[in-house]
Amino acid sequence: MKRGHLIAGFVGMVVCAIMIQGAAAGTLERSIEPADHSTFRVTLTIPGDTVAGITEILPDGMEILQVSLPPHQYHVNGTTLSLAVIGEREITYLVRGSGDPTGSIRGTWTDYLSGEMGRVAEHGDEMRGPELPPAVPLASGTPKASPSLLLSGTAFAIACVVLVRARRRDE
Amino acid sequence: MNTPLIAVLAVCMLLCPFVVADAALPGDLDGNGFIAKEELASSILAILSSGTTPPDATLSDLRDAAWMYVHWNGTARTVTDSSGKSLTLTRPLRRIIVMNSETLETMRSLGVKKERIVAVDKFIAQKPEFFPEYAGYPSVGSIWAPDYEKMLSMRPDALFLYASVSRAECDEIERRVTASRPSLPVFRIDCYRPETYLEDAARIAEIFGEEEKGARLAAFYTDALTKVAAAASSSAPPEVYFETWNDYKTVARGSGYHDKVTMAGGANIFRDNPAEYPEIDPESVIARKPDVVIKLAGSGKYIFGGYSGENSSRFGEVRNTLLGRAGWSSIPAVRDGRVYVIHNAVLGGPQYLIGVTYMARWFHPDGAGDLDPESLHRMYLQEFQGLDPGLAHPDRFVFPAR
Amino acid sequence: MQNDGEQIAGQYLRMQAKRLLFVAVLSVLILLLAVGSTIIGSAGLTFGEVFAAVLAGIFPGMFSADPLAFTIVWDLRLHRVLFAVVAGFGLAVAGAVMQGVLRNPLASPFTLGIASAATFGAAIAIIFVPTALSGEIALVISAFSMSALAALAIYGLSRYRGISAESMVLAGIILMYLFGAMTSFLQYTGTTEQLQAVVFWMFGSLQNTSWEKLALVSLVVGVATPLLVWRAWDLNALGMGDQVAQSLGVKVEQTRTLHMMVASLITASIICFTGTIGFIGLVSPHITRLAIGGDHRYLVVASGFVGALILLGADSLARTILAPQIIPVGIMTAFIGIPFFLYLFMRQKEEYW
Repeated sequence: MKRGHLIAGFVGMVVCAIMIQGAAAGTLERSIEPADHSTFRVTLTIPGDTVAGITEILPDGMEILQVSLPPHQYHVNGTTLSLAVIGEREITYLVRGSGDPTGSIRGTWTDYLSGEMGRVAEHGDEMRGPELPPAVPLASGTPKASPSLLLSGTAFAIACVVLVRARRRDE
Repeated sequence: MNTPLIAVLAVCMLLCPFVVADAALPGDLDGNGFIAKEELASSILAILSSGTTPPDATLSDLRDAAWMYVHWNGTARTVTDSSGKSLTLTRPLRRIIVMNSETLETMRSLGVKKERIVAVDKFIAQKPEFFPEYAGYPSVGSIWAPDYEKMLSMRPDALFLYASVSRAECDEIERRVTASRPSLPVFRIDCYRPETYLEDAARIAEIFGEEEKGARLAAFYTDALTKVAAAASSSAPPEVYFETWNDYKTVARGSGYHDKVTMAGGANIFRDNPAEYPEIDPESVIARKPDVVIKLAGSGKYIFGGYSGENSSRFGEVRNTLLGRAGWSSIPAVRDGRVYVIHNAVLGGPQYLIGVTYMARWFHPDGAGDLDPESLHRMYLQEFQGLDPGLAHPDRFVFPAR
Repeated sequence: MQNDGEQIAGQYLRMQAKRLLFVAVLSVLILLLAVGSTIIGSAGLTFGEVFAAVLAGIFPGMFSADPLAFTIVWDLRLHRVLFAVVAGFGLAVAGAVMQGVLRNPLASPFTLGIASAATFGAAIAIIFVPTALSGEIALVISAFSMSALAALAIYGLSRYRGISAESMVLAGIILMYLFGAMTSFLQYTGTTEQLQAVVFWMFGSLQNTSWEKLALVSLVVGVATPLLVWRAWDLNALGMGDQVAQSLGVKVEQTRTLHMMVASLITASIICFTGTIGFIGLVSPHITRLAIGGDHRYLVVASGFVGALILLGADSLARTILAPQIIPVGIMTAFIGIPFFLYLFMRQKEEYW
């Protein structure tokens, strides 16, 4: 990988992360990284202390291994993983199977304190902005979305997507 | 009303607090009175696994259970209201009727969302500047003219009334509502008197599991009150003439305004009068030579200023009229220019803190270095009430500010 | 025969002397009370200071006084005392005339609904024009015009059924209930403070007097009283019954209307400034009758003196009993009037006049 692209991609990702924080303060996110051969670690990040339910549907042929929650807080049914989030901020689980699950896991969440629900955003996904209702965090006050950050952030986001796509094509 | 009927109602009322409405807590699967983490997880997984959209009742039970787990440590909450009545709640309150604006204001300071409140009294609904989110909200009349039908048709799960203000009217409302709905918790909380305000706010924080916000509010008040007390004791109390919005009607011991004047370190010249709100002989003001004169505005003939901000230029006019009263040129207050007009919005109810700080500055100008009522007002609106701090323009509430 | 003549003449002269004495004593009492009232007050002025202040006001060049005492006497006390005298006089005169016109010992200036109308006018002003300065003028005008309206309504209504005492009283009752209901409705729609303000106004008070108001009221009373006294003989005739009066040459309907209008005018012009002060107009004519008989030529004026004394006394009491707190004067006059009525009630005599 060209170093310039790596740096650009990294900067883009960081800016995207900041942008996400600014525009939609706290969406539930999934990020995937490879672990051992054909095993991937999926990390779900919850934006605040809350009580929520998450359903992750994996592509066929994937197997769910460990889950970081205690046994009474999750349930595996084939390729469907149900999670009960009670105050946890991060949940990881391991999946094994052919192919890269990136982009093919579908997840939905419901926050039982705020009543909101939505899709789990994939980290690095195209920005959908307003289509993803934010999970309202328990402790903090109203999200402070600054319009100027949004505007400049959108430009960077487009650059970010282009860069990431370019990075993938490079591999 | 015959005695046996009263006796029966009294017994019912006494028993009510001990009759827990919904016997089981939502999400308490083993019925032991506690919602454990495992039970909560179990309920969540049950809903998720079913695959289909859960029925509303199940979902709302789960939501209540989640809320109670977080706010009430997973168990039913027992709160004592200001009248000493013990009320046990087995569900979070989601359909509240509030009939006094001071309690609503306090709830707002403690982060209670509008979605939980289904109806207010008509005065709250008519204050769009201070309660913009409740403008035109469903109203159930007022404490002095309650609309029982509307109240019951809103299917409330809690009712908030004054404890000691308009006690007879509030007692009547409580009696009649609990006669139709014996299990309805009726909270008697004032949020009106300075001496009980922090207690009242703490009770409300307990009801909604917002102890942290309650502590912040308490710290805000204690801090400001300590500064006032420091200024108040910095020099001898000046003689103060306090006039309400009725000309020559003043206050004496037993009335809230008298207490606030004393809190700010002033000595009310009519403190010993037997009636709490006496109309006095104009001469007696001249005879008692007050050092400071405070005029209350906000109602009656002096309806201007405040949050609606109308005619706030009248403050100056009113002050000039006072200065020009027959014989007043001999009063020390007039000679030294220590005549002030203050709006009731910052002197009555939870915002008394701001008015009292202003008065402390006026009574003890030398010891008032620490006092900053303008910032206090802005901070209260912004941090606690979620309103635009620009509403706290001093021109609309006091004149002159210093 | 000559003895009889002498006897009657002697009796008459004695009666006259009695009347003169009565009025003289009253005048002295009023003067004394006025002086006393001017001296008492929370400011704690001595007799000398008050005296000096009064003189300095009347003869500015020749006398000087402490400026504070001067302000208190001339800006706060004196006009109130004088107003009490004039207002008491006017209300009592109006009361005497009303009792004569309606041939009813229970009549008062308020019998024909004047008080209710004025209260309604005050309520309108209090609730709809609440601001300070303009509010006061609006209140006076509103109260006065409502009373005037009521007087005209009485006239209009009685014309239908003939201008007799009974029809006037009936019309008065109708108006009283009408205005009373409208006032209650206004109070119901107003705020608690406004409701209180209306109730306070109904008690009556001499707190808001001024030299200008005094001048106005004195003008009205000063012009109306001689007029009423001039026509007082007609009232005597009316007292015998409409038909008798007619046969004596009295234009019954005209007289009744004129007297009613003038009495209402006096009453309206007083109560639009003070609120409805009751009992003066009711009680003073009775006291006077007990002393000097029912001849209206003397009754009207003498009853005025009695009214002045009662109102001044009541106001002084109201100011001093719970000093510095002030009791509305209307409450004081009620406390004075009730014992008197009790006394009347207890008396065995059948006739009340």
